[in-house]
Amino acid sequence: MKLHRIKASATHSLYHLNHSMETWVDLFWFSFTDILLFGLISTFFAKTTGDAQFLLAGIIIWEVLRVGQYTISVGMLWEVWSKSFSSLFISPLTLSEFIIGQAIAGLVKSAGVTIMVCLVAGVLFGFNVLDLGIFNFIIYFLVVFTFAIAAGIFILSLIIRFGTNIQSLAWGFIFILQPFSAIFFPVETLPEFLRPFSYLSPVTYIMQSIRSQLSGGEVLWPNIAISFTLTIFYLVIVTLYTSRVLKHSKSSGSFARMGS
Amino acid sequence: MTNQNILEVENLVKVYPAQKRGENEYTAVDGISFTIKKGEILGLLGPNGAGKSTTIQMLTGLTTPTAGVIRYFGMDFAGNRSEVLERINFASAYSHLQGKMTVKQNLRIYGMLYNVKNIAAKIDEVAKLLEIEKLLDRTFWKLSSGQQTRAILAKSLMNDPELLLMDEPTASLDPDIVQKVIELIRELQQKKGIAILYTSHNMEEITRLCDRVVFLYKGKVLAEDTPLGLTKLVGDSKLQLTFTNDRGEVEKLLAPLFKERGSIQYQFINERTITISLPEADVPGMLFDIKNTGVWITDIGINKPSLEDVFLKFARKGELK
Repeated sequence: MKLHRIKASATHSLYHLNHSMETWVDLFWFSFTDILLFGLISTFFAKTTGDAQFLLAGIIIWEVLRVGQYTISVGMLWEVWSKSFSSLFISPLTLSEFIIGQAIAGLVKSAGVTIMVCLVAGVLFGFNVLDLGIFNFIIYFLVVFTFAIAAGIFILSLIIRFGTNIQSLAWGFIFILQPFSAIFFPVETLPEFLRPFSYLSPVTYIMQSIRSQLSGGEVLWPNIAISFTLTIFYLVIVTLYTSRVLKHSKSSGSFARMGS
Repeated sequence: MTNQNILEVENLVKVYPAQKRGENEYTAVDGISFTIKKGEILGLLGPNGAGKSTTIQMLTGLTTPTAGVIRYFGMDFAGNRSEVLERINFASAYSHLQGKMTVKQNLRIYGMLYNVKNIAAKIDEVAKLLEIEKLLDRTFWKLSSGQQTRAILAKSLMNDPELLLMDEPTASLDPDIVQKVIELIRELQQKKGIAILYTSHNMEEITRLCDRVVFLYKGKVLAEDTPLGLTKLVGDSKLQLTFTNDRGEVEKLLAPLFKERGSIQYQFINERTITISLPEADVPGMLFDIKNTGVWITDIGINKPSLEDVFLKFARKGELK
């Protein structure tokens, strides 16, 4: 693994962002409209049923998850659509270097989107994310972002395995996690038989800690530890799976076909 | 590495597994071997399904061989992927640069990937060589096909490769642009001494460019020779004569001559034109003899066998070797 190639992959992603209106819309515009919508909903709930700042906290965490995974999985698709996939992988660049570079670029993009949505939440709806504690928020951000990378790698490996027929998963897959990650409501809201699934998502534990803080309680460090452990577990699993998929796709010829 | 072989391919095999239950596995490349020496241009020729693309994919690491050895610069490719790929490069009409980025940004990225020391200077050098200075700040997608080809070639020179793999680099280009690109490739090879593996469907390109040609058919090497050597495998030239006499008279006058020379193949294209197949060395004598029969010739055409004839013969019959 070479640093200069990881740097090339990260720079590639940022250069691309600079020229891609579609990516700006996917990342910043959707995040902006989401925070605006949920800000208005939380304002309405605040007037009728009480404080609903957890909705704003939820959407901020959700955007970290969405943008992180998008960068990895759609980043690869841009190369397929542009027919530049072969050129990239015929260079000394390895898939792991590509992914790490994209993840670094994803961190920059996620940080940018998060700052934007936090500013909108603060200025328009009076929700100051720093009330959670800047250190705590950075921990929440990093754990969720790392899980987003694991989710992105998983989707990317599915695309390598099954081809671009399933490319819509690059946008759509992450939404299956939304109801099971206690983002906008506590786990107890789910039907009982679905609750165990919720505890498989690292985001659930982060949101429980945030919700605890917003209710005047403490940071739930054991929850953060569980979330972190689960995230690392998923990262290891998807890395192993991707490695296997890559080997299979190079053997079956599907990796080469992605570039043609 | 023997005799400065830059690339050695030994008994390379690729068997694709069955895609669905009930289907058979498919052998795309079946034990091919060839070498490329320093500074040599080797053509890889063959009809669709011959195994050219699969061979290129294995040579670039996009596809894993089922069996066989690929050795670059004396190193096993499988165990030295990065070291090898840093010293070779690839250009194809089908492998683009990132369309949304400018040409310069693309070249900068590849400069970083290949760990080029002074990327800005290298971009200037390749841009000047390929006359794309004015295109550097333009988005790749907005370039014409010919401009894109030159940008792709520029990318392929960013690391000063010792071997350039070129997979139909001129596909979908207008003939005048093809000519320019061919001249450019020849010039590059002469100036920089790069070895080139060149695949194309265009026989003229192969004839003009390649020192040696490997002809693939159904995954096997059917023939390997210089373009001229390969054309000799096809054999006869075609002598086309137009005359003032009518067909019946010509047949009558030439019949004894053809009988005397044995089994000469001939065919009337129309009432006043005949095509005679015969070895190239026999053409002058045949013309002299025909003149003496009293046939009044008004036009003479001699078509020597081309690589296209070789291609057609091999592709249709797969009969040699």
